Amino acid sequence: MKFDISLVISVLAILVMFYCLWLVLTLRKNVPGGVVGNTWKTLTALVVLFTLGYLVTPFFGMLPPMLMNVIVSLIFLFGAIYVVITVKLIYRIIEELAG
Amino acid sequence: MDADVVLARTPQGAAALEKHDHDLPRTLRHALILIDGRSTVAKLEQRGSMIPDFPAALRDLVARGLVAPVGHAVPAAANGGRSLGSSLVTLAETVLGDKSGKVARRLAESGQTREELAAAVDACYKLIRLTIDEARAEEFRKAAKDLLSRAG
Repeated sequence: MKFDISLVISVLAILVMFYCLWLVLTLRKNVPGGVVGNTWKTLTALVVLFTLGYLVTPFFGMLPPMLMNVIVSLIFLFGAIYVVITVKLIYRIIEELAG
Repeated sequence: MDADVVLARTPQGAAALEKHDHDLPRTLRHALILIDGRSTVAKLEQRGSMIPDFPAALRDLVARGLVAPVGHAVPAAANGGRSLGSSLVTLAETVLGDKSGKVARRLAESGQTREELAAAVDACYKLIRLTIDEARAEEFRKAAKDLLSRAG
């Protein structure tokens, strides 16, 4: 494991993701159900998945390239799903508030 | 049971009536039919006087979760807004239980005119729908509109 700029960025990303995990878990009690509450559960699961994925990034140099590519691809895929869910949720909230 | 309390069928009560639930004794079924979501216990007792031990049947329906209080009868215009506001808070607490905090606070803090309360009910409906439960949001809105329309 080399100590370089990418490692620093990875550690920062992990810290931010842990902060995000803390946020989704602590704010969850404020949205027990409804449109937001149901989506929140999915977002929480995705944040847990990202946290695990991000934790692997400092050890990328030690992984076989094939496995590394699969992990990166999965993070991208679930990242895209996360964005779709978030955009749809925001739009749904706007619809509810405007309706 | 408080004679001024208005009773309404819960979703379970409506379902029991619709599917002719055979586990429901005939007396309770007849009592359940009389519940219209607008009448007070006092009015219901008048209407259900032909049903044997009607007050006990009402208590049994509440205990079974088939019927729930949705507020108090709205007194004549003299007390107007304030009574209506507190009826709406009671309704929110009945429908939402321990999750009623924010909704009850919002209703309590709203203005007391009928228009202000109607606007608060709409806002609360959206809040419930977004953050608590979509089915209970519909239940709250229907009962709240009933209360508001009865207040004239």
